[in-house]
Amino acid sequence: MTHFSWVDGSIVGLYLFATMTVGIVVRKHVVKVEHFLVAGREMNVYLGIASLAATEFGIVTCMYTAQNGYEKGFAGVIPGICQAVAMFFIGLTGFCIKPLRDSGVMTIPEMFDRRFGLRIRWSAGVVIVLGGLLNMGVFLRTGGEFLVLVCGFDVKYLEIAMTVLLAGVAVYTILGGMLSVLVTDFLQFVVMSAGLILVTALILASIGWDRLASTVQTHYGAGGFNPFANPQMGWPYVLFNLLLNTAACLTWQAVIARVLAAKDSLTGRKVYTRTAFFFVCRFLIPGIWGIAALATLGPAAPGENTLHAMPRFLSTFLPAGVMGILVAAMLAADMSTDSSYMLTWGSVIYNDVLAPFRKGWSERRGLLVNRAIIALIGVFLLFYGLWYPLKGDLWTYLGVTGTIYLSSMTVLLIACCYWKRANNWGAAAAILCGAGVPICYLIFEQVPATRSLAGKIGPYYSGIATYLLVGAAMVIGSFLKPRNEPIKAKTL
Amino acid sequence: MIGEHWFWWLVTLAVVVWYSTVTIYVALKGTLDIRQMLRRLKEGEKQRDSRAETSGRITF
Repeated sequence: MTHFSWVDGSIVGLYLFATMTVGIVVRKHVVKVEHFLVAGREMNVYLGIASLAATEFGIVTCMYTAQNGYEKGFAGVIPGICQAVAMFFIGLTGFCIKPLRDSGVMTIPEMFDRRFGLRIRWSAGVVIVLGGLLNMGVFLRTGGEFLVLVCGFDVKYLEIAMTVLLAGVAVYTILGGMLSVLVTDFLQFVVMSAGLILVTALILASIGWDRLASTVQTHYGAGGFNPFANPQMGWPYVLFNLLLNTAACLTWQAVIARVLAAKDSLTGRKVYTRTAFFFVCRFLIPGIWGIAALATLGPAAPGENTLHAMPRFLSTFLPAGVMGILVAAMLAADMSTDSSYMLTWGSVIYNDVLAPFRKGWSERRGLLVNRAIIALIGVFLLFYGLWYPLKGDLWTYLGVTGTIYLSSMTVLLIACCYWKRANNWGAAAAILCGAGVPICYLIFEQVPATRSLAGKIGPYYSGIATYLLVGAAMVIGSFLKPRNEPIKAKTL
Repeated sequence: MIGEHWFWWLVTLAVVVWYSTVTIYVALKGTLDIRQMLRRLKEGEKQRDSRAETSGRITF
């Protein structure tokens, strides 16, 4: 039975109309590739905060953080705290992001070109796109599952909901690029935040803090509050998340795009320091929703998907009207993430992967190619999202696929900015190691013969090993190259 | 329960208060940022158009 009334439908319709109109209207200001990819570098602090927060909170975020709350209690908020700490210190010190923004590049691999050469730029672009698209591949299905479950629609509408959602986002992203993304992100931030705060306030008022805390205490004991006391988490979980989230703050293209679109490096740093605490909210708010689902629905039955607990809880908990605000908020969250991510990976394909082939292209041709790339990414997402069977929990899948490029790109970026001895041999070794270990882990997880081995190693040890190996590969590779051989760096 | 798990209670309180305040503040200041951004882009377009016009006159 549907829990979605005409009042809810009107709220959602109004939101969709406003977003699409705003997104399409600003397209007239896009006349150059620089406008399309980095909004002419005219982004100021508060627009940057809204855009970064909206981009980094999608339905997929809400689902996996709620799953963390449902399965791990308050200890599941640890990744958010790690990210907030990392982002604050990076913003405060300007570590890597200051030299990156000051260099005037549009993507991270473009910076590598100056230090390590065109081949490293190209390889870095390929790895970034591979990791990014695999990571984003599960967004659509997860978003569709949330909407269908929370509204009580028939599951057969999931694919239709996914396709319509993606088509809507693709229209304004293709037309307006980063400019449309920033302006719609702002609107989406306001709608999303209003929905998140309202639903959390309702949960805290009707279920209450004491019941939430006692539920966690009953089901998980001390491990539900302290990750070091939790047998499923412990130091490997905390260390892996600290590495992963620091790497994400430094090189996750969707995050770093806000620094690159900022007016100057100081604006980029301010966006980081002032958005840092949002990453605690990003994990705690849906985490509370997940704990509320545990308190009202109880623990999952064997074989039941814990990802669905939170939307099932909300479908019966929220009154008409508030349901519409929630769905509008979640659509806002998802649309801002999808648009930013499509643009982000598209910008790397155009700027870096196609770098050797696009000499002498006019601005008009550049814009056309960028738009075509985004449309193709949309088509890929639609098909990948439909057939990839997700194994294990969602946050771990995202962490492992993200590590494909986060580990190597972070090491490359740090070395590029601060280590004079770093060279293209070290960079190539780091990229190979960084992509090899997580891809092997993903394959091991899918193949029946190696599934138990993958289970024994676990995602956290495999993730930590990747970062250590990549660091070692950069150092060893750089020292192996004879010092007198000049670096054949070539700027396009 | 609050006394026993004061850390998470404080984090929850901080999240609700901080997020509510920041949403309102960013909603107001962000509107100004968008206006400024679009105005600067428009000025840039006008400058480009006038440069193109000038160079057109010289050419012809």
